[in-house]
Amino acid sequence: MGLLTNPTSRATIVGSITRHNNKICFLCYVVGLSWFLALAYQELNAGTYFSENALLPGLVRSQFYGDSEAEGYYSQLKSELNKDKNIMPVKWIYNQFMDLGLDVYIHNFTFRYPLKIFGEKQIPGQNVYAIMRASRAASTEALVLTVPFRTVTTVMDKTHGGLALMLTMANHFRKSSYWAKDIIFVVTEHEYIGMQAWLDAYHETKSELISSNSLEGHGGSIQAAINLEVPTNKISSFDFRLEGLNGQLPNLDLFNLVVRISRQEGFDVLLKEQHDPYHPETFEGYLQNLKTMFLMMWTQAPGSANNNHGVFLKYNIEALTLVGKKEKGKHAQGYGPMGRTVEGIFRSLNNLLERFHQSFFFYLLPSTSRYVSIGLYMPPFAIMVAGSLIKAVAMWISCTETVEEGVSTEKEKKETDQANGESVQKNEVKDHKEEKEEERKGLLSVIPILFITQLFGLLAYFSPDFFVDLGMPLHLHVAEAVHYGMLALFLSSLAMPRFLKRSLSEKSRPDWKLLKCVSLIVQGLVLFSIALMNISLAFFLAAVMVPVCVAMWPSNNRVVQILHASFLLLISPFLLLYITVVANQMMTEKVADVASLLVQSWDHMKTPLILGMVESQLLGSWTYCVICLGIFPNWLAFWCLIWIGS
Amino acid sequence: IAYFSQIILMIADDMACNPRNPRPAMVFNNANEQINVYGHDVEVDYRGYEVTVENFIRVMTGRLPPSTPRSKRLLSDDRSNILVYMTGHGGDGFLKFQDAEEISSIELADAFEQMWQKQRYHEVLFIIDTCQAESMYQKLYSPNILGVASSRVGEDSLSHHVDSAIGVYVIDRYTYYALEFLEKVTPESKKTLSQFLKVCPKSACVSTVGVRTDLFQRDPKKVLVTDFFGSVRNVELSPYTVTLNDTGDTGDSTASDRETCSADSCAPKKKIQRKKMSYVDQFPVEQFLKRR
Repeated sequence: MGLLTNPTSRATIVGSITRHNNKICFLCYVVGLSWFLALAYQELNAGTYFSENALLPGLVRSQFYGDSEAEGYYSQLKSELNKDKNIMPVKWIYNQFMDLGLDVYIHNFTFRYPLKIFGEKQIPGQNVYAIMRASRAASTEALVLTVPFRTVTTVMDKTHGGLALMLTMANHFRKSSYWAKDIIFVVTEHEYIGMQAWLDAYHETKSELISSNSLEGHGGSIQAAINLEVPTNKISSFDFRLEGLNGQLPNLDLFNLVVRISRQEGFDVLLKEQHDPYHPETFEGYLQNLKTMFLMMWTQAPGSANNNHGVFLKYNIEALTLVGKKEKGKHAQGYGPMGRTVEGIFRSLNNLLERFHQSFFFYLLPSTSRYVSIGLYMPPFAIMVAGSLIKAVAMWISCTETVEEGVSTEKEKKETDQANGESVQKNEVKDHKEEKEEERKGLLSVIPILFITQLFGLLAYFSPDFFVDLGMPLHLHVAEAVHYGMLALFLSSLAMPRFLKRSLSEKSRPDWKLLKCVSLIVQGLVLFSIALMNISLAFFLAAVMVPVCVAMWPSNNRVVQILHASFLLLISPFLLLYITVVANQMMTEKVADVASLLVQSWDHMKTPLILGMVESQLLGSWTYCVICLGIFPNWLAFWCLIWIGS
Repeated sequence: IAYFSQIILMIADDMACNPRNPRPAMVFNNANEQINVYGHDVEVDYRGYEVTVENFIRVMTGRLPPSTPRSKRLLSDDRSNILVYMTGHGGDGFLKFQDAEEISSIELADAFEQMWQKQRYHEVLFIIDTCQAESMYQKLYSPNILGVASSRVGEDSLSHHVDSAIGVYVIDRYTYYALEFLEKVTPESKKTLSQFLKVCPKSACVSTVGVRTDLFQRDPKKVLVTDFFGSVRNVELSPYTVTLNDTGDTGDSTASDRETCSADSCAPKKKIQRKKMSYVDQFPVEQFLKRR
């Protein structure tokens, strides 16, 4: 393009961008944000469809009519659970599978919680798994049906109905000869930790803190997995959980399959406990879709493995969770339709010759029948972050111009942009050498600040264990120790600009424009990298950080400084977490008044903090690492920026 | 007694013995599961990965390695009528063989021409049931070929119905109606090819059935269906004996063994001896009957 290679016109474009950069940045951010939110509207996204034709969903007539068997299993299970309310009836489950004639094994594993929660104790666990071999196939592939065992006294939703359903399905499946893959039934203890232990043993990988015995019985390579969390024997609808570790999602075809089969059997389909709007083309319909999409992003952003299915995704095994719900006023169905749903799903999965590869792996769902693909959500996100990159370019240009102004005095009085462009060229030719020296000094001076902020990030990443050790003689609970320890670290990082001012002389202090430019570029890099994997986290971070960071500059006016500082504090990782918890409390529970809300949120803040650290060590989740080593240093650089002064 | 059928069957996917088939070793023509088309007399000559474009063209042109058994050869001569039926996934100008290859309409046309040059067929009925099937016979240029396609270029051929006990679509529309017609054809039937060509109107097939008759020299109205189906062999009666010369041919087709002749010796060596034939005397049943 002649426009960009021609130095004069390039200088004009660059000049006009620099002049109007504030307006352009603001426009980019607003356009990007509103476009992203508008994607939930029906006209702007697409309807879900089956890409993998081999699935042939719902074409085969179900042959499951074992309701009474399932009810029998359910009542037996309940009486078994009432004998001892706190343990998993491993022997009973083992015997049931044994009676059916399947290869059943008990898998022992132990794990240690990180951060010395429960001390150095190794917590034991047992999974029970049974393999139904395909009678005419070579056992090269397998499908998994899993139920996380929860005791009667659990605070989470119960899963006993699902366990009885699994036993019934095992009985039904083994009577048929049309299976081309082995079906493995797994009952896990300790939720996804048990599942991770089982998967580790199956694939012979090793986790740091989970040690599991090798498996006695083995199947083929797992193609797909379904996790059942059905509380009782009567449900009216199915809710689906897709988000897994690090925000990974299963293939959209698996979701389409499960939705289609559930609908066929007469169940209501929910996503994030929201129904599909009846009139999606209206404004109310749009708001409902936006709410569902927002809730999905809210769950995806932390990157936690929410249910058993979340840990499968790491192994390239498509998995999702079916949660049974009984809604008031809706007609509830029993084990007949439930069994036929599971049977239908497995028969379709049985048809597959290849792993899921046709449909999308990156998407957002405004409802169960609409999707927003990566091709639709990346442009608005890119435009949002482009604002900060344009600001970075503007900062760079003005930085080099001020350098030249310092060198040649006569040219600095020119007013027109055209002349500016020319003068930039002429100065480049004349004072090339001196300019370079100035620039080089400028860039080098930014490095100490960035290095120290990165050190703070490293400190934050490795500190939890230190805080736990520190808190033990003070008899602080682990959660409290870590919470207050992180608070202490955060507050100490706030003091960094003060030390910088003292230690760095005027000459070695960097030009604030240069620092802002580099920080904005790093921010753009980090946000785009996160967006490739976990768009929700990147979107939420970009939505709050980009406008604030772009508009930061150091000033001598006290009021302006305080204003900047407060805005920047609001988006600091620590306070952002607090605000997130407040928002979560508001969404999930009814709160009496503002004060109690704030206090409760402060208490509840420990949970995501600890969970992030625990999961990063136990399962290999990246969120904590990314926040500590990517977001926090970047934020700290901006914090230094506003206090350094011009 | 070892015998082989004059049918070459090439099936790439083993559907009958696929573990997903709830009726093992059986393939039915419709959802009512009336006729098992994969019965005891079905012999699959080329299966699985043997079904390649190369093998197909070798079978057609006869260029097979000497070790190929007779059951895998076409063994046709210049008096043979050949029925070629192809089905599967296809598009404009190609038909898919395995996941990695396809046969083009031009390759097929050249294969037929090689057969014509080598006098390996008298007439060919070419039936093809794929999407955009017409494109496969558009490039044919050898004489005596009648082409029937289940859909025109730009149209898809559709499946007929689902067998919900198995969970797949069991038969395609054109094949279903063609089979329905042919089930009623007996070896003595006088049905003509033109009736066969009309077998699937657009109301039944949804796609338009295409026919190519310009290469076929006879009028389809006068050609019997049994000329191509039912292995009905026409017998030519001759009241005279025919003496076969002993050419010393051991079965090798290499050029060195073939006799060459010069201008003098190319004349026929012997006169053909003709002896009038008559019926053998009947078995004298009356004598035996009378005796009793």
